[in-house]
Amino acid sequence: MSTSDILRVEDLRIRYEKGRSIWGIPRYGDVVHGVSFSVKQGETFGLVGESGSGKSTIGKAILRQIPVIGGTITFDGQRVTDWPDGRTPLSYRRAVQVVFQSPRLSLNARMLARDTVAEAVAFHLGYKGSQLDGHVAQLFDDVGLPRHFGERYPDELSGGQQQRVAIARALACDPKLVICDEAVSALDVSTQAQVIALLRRLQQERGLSYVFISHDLGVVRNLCHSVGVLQHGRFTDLGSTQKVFERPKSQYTRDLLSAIPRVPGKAA
Amino acid sequence: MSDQATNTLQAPLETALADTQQKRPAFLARLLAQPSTVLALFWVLLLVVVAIFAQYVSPYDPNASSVMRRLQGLSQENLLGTDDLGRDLLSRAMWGARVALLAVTQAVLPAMLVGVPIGLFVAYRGGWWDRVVMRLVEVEQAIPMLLFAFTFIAIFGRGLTNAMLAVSLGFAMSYLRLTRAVVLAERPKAYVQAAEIQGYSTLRILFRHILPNAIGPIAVQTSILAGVAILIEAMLSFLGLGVSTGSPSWGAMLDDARRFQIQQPLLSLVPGAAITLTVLSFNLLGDGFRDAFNSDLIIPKRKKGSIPAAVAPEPDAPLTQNSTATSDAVLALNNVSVEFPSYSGSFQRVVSNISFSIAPGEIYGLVGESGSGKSMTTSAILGQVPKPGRIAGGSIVLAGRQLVGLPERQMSRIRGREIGAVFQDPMMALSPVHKVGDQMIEGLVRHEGISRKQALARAAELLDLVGVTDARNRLDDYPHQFSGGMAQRAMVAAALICKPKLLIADEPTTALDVTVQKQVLELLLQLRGTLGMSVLFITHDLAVVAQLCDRVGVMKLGELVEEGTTAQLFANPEHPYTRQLMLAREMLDGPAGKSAS
Repeated sequence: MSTSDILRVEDLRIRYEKGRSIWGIPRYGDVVHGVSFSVKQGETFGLVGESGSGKSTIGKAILRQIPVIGGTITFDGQRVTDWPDGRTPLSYRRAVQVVFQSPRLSLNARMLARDTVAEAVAFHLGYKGSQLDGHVAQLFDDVGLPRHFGERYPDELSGGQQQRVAIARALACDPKLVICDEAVSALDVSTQAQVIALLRRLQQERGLSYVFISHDLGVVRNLCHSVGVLQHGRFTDLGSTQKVFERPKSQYTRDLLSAIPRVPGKAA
Repeated sequence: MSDQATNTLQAPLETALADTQQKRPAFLARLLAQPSTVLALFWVLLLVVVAIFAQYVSPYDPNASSVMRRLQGLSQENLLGTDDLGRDLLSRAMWGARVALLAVTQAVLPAMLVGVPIGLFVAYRGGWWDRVVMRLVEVEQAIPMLLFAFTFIAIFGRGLTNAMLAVSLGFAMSYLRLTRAVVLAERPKAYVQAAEIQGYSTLRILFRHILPNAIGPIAVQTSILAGVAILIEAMLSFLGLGVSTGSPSWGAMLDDARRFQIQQPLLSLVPGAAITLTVLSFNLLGDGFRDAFNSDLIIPKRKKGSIPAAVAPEPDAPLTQNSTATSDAVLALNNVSVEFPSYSGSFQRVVSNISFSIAPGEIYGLVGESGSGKSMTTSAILGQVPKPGRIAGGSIVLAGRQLVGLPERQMSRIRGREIGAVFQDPMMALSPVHKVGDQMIEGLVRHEGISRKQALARAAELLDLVGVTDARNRLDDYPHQFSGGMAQRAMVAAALICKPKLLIADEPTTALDVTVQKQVLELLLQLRGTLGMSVLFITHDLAVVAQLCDRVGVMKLGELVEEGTTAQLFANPEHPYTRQLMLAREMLDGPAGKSAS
């Protein structure tokens, strides 16, 4: 654990409410059992696993969408898990942002693309008028979206354009860490490639760190510096991408790797 | 992690799509595109104008009686006749509109102002707030609204306002329930979560983000409640509990009409028609709002003249060179086009002049990105192009039989029996309330008339064939007891149960995990081997195609741009779009073959 770690997760344990008995006493099921990893400044950590493995749950815990029952999350020196539930400082909200899987659902259908981005800027930075317009226009430029698309509603944009709006919103206040929860899974292959290229460029320009949650090992291998492979809420493999992909320790990771369908090379 | 590939990859489809993406007509335009709504809106607006300016537009004082002119019929002086005191019916109906709309305002407006915010609040806070408030609402709703009205009148005295306030209380509860239900449905959606992660305050999230998305149902509810308010006002006034005696109200007019309607039917016809038309208009308006808010629904502009019938295939349309539609092909498409009306009313092709054929035992892959028309091609083959879309021409021949233009009755026999279909999400395709076994054999029992017992035996056999262990017992399970992969196996088994000639698999592995995807693909290959079945495999993923298919067609924006054997296509892609797709895949995975180590 070096000082360049922007995010450190130690022995994280999360459970969810399965249901309630007739007396209203909740019954719990564990989803994450003691997971530890760290994300370095300016790097990408891949969280891989199949559905139900708990990968999205970890993302939600970092975003403080669900309570944790044990372990710690430390972001930039602050002990995130010490804050009471439902009370998250705005500074943390500015610093840690999210891009969700479905761009269509993650944008408010009744708000213009521009307003979605502008709201976040105005809320956090208090900009108004031309200063606000300028900042929003700059964000549109940064994510490679023509400015006039700001005057459209989400359903008038294609999936990739919608996802660019969502990324612009996440970048509104210059975050340090972005949780990408299956951020490209719902997109077409060629669009995925473009969004991945965008994420990589933004990382280089802004020194962003990502937690990249995905079930697509190909994409993870291509984008992430280090990887954790989750099965039933535990890591079966954890380490640098190269190490995990070339010398996987567990049978589960090997099975996952062998299941990836591949395009034959042009020369082959 | 090189960026070199980034430079060579141009935005292929996205830009093309963005250009075709039309701006959606605004809400008002969508509303006004519906004739019934326009009529209803016209009537309601007319009523509002008459109600506000009653003293100017009504020909007589509504209370000016004239014993000389009692119970007149239609005449020049009294357009709609007069009542038993000689009062002008038209004038009274006009003033009655004022009472009716006042009643609507008094009942609906306070209800909305109280019910909607409380509904928003309890749904968002949840917990005890929600439980306590909802129990109170349930108690209130268990008491008949009229009883409330009577109580209010007994306590506060007779009068329209008191009665309508009682009604308003009941309406507030329905607003509260509705708003709460909408918020509960919206709350888990990603856009609300994104707002929470931005750190927005609860108030901002409720009013800026959730409420605008709840406006549709609330508007519909308002319109319907307005109709109800008018009925209740009429009812109370009829009973003499609403407006003071002699005041012009539609309900009171009906009351007055009782004794004399044999002599002069107009007495009840005039207020009766006013009430019916107004309530009907409010309900139609509600329907119109709902359709206009539903932005997925295309409301085509009405055009004079009939819509032309589906056209015959153009003889000079270019044939794809590889489509040697041999007579022994299981499925042969020739110049098939599918078109949909656009907002402007003209038809746009989403599939144009597609030709390909599938030989017995062949797995044919149809690849394309969203909007390429690949799924619409499947719908065309299955005879399920959703209205108002239609097949615009071409021929689809299944084992020598022309499917285009076949009546729905015959088509429904072909589906499931001669063509089996498997779709993306097995959990969506299976009904959650029926046993898996029953869902599998439904078609068999209906189409082939064999007994349930025999059918179940065959279903068990097939479940076993697709690799579901303990098949016989699992027939009695419900879909939620199956994992995603097992459910998709069950779907494949269900598709095979009538021994179809062709299996259509539309993105059957997209919703599945990679390990499960691998199993399903292996299953399809194995089934082709054992059953000699033909498969049409629709996917956006070239990598899946490479593993599975014998031949591949690549679709882009409704056209088949390239076709060939899988080996040929991957070794030597000719069309630039195919090359772009492959490049995109390579960019995502890193150079091919790297993982072979």
